[in-house]
Amino acid sequence: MFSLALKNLLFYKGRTLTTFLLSLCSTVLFVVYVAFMDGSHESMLKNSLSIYTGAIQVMQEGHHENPSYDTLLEDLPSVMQTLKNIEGIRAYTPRLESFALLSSEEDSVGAMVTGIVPESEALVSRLKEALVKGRYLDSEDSNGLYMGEELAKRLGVDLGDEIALVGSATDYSFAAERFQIIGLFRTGLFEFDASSAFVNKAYFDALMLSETMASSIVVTVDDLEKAETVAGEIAGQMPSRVEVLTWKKLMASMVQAMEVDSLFGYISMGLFFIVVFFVIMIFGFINISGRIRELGLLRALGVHSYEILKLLLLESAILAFASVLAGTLIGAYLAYFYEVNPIIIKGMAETYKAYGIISDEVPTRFDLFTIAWNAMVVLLLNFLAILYPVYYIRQFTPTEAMRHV
Amino acid sequence: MVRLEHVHKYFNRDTQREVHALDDISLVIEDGEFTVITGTSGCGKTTLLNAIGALDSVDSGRITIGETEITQLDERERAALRLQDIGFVFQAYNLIPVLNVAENIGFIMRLQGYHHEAIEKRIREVAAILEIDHRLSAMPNELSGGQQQRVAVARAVAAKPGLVLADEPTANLDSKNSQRLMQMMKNLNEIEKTTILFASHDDYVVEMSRRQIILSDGHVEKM
Amino acid sequence: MFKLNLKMAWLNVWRRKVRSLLVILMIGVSMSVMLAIQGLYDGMTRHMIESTLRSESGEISLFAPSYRLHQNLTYRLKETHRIIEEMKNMPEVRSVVKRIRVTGLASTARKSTFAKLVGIDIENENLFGGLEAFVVDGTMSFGENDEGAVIGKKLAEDLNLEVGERVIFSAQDSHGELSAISLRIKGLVRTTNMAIDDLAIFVSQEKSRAITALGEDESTEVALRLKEGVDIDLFQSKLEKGWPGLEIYSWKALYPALDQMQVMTNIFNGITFAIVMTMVFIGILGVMFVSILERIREFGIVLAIGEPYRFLRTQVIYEALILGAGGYIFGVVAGSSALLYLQSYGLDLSRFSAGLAEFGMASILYAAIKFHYFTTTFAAIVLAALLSVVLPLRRLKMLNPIEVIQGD
Repeated sequence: MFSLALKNLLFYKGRTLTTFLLSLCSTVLFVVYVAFMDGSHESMLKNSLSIYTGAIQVMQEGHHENPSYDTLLEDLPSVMQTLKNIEGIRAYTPRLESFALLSSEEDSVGAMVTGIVPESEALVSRLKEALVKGRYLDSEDSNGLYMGEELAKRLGVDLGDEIALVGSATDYSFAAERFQIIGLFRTGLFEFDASSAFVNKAYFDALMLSETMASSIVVTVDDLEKAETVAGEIAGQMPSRVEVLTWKKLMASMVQAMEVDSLFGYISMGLFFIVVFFVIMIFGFINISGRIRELGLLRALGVHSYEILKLLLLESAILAFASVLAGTLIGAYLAYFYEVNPIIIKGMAETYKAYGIISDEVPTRFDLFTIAWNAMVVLLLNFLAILYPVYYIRQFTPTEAMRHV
Repeated sequence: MVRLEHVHKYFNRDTQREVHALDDISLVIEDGEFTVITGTSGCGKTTLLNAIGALDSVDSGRITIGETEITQLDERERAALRLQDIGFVFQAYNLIPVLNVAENIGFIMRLQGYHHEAIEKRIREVAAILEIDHRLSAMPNELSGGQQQRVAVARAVAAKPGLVLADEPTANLDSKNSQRLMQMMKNLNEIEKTTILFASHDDYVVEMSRRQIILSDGHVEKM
Repeated sequence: MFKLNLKMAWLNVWRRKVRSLLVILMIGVSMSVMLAIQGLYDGMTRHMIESTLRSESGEISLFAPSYRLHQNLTYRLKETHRIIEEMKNMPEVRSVVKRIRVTGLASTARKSTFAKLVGIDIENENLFGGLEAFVVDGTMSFGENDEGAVIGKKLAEDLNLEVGERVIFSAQDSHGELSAISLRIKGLVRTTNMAIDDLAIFVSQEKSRAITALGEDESTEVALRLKEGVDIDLFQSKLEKGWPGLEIYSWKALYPALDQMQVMTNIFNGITFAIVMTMVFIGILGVMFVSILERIREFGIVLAIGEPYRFLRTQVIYEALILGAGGYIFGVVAGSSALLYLQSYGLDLSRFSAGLAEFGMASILYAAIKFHYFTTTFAAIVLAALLSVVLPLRRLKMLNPIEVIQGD
């Protein structure tokens, strides 16, 4: 039976070739398309996470939805102590965020001024690496300010210049101080670089009256996939009004934006699949209806119609498996290749900087599970496409089929 | 032995175009016969042959082949019966286009599950009788019409069925090829004792047969 | 003769009902889904561009030199009245507004954030881009004593503000002095233009002059809406010649991402179109080829009895065209109903509203319908149908009638 199926495929070359190529191209296209989609999403996410957000944040209940001084972590030392003993955590650092008006001689700009612990911050985010001019903060710093390059541009200031900060302390009292710019950074996240400045937390606490407080503690983990587990662990050991959020929640709108992007991608692929489905079906139909007499002969000779069905399905299966396998191999290779050597679109980061894109690189994501389900979809498509033609042929009795013209 | 008792078949039953294709047919065909069912075009030859071959159902009456009453069988059992007990030769389009001559001849035996070597041996045997042993690796579309029909006969007899049914086997052949085919089939009938039943109005087929059953408007006119 | 051709073609198409219907179904379904997707993407891009043009830049924006770079009041337009009057008199211009924009800090008792104060004239803005239509809460008004403000929806959410509450805005004026005003919120706007929704505090021109200390004839920007069909690039260079002292930007230069997005949408739709039409071509080709092969004996006979080849050719072409046209008609009906539905009811993606907002998109997407969808698709299907018979016809031309009849 298998050899007869194979011989039929070799005999009816037109249908075989068309179906094979279509199915192959669909598989390659689908695998590569999804790999690019997932890859660009993943790199965007990873970039944002590693630049500043971190995999997990620990904060007072309600702070994420409504960040204000009313929802600060108040017992920082004990929370920090707890984190020390949890497995899977790579590093953690507290931050105290405060919105303040920064004024230079030229201009005033509202900015997020954040008190950080310079050493542990360097382990958690890419702030230190993002340095472009001057130096990063250290634990001895007093009124040194580490500022986003775009923010400095907006204020018309440069390294060494003085800046006045006007804001409110954690008890809502008036807080004002003069700072000196000791370093400028550029992460590539345009909005971030245009609205952020950092101060040594030890010094900032004195001004903001926030010695044992923090807006959040940022935690990085050894394995991003296990962030949920680690977060659960942390939550179990925290006091009741403390919340532990993973990147999925922290980056909710970005994650959702990517879902939307994927949705559009799948809609487009869906259209493509509809067309491919029809073409495969039509060619299958043409093939089978052209063979009605031959199949009728088989049945007259005593081959049961169930066996004929098996034969036809076997033909499709051979075609489908061969083409999807080949397509998957090619697609997987491309997905792997472009993961290692990402495509570079010059100027993309500049054009889309407002959308948080910081790199010209578009990597793919090589993921066996994704590739497997992509391949399954095309396989399924192949089988669905043969259903109608097979159903059609079953309507004929052997004598009718033999007489069919 | 094939036995038909009061077999009736209608086409387009209960419509204005109703045709009484088989009208109360009762006959017996003994093992080893070389018999033709003949009559004018549309007299019901092919319908009768299809009914005997379990290709088509009848509306009433009984048909038995050996001990099996085929009018009682369902589609699956009829297919099994055709495969095991009956060989077919049709007017045209007999061969599976993707298989070569040898594979076509051995097709039924392969389906029946014969051993590879037994099939090879039998292919050579019947191919020799039908004088197609020099074309065993050719594809059907490379053969002449006469050769194609001989391959079809070879396939029909290869598995040594109790009954071979041939529906107008010579219709697409010239007289020389018709004679050759009939002579070979007669040889087969004599050598292998195969029961062969034709449906044909070809004079030559009728002449060569040992017994003629003449049909007219669906009923037996002469046995 | 042609009528007979057409009739024979028609009958032949229906001789293989299922097969013909499958092809028609294929063309129709893929065409309608393709149209729906195209319409949705075009509508989405157009909506994003439109809302930015209406709420902010117009087709063309004019600034004082260096303003774009520094976004600082030092670089302000001086003779705004003269500019506006002359712009209004240009035949290409439909509407003109001037605005004063200043960056500063918006604060409530609990929170502060970065914001942009925009001094506008409501009446002019409504003529310009129908700003009032973007109000989602409250009204588009600044109150009797001009103390009111209309602010971006997202900004209001960030600051936990509602209509009727107060917000303090502080900024440096044109002399470098820090000044602050208290404003009562009259309304909230959502434009899907992130620069407005996240940052904007609209106040009256007078109020903005008060906080920036700009003069009666000064402003930071003038934006123009052009009349339908005016070539933006051409008009821009005309302005640049006439006003060498101004920096003139088209919206494409101000929002390269939006322009890019439009280009990407066009490319994407183009690729989709090409793929779908190629498949349509393959589909018709397959069916036509087989349909000719299986009738080759029939064709041999009609050629043998003296029918000219070109008669056959016409008939075959008609058959392909009937298939294409059938699919097209089905596609037009299904596609335009899908488009009309998506145009009036939209595709509700509220589930992803936060994600859409990240791209500056509304959570219900409405389709655009462009006439050319139907014309280009028609042309492509006809082309595909015609191309698809080339190969089968070549086969037919090589036919020797005698062989066909004798063979078999």
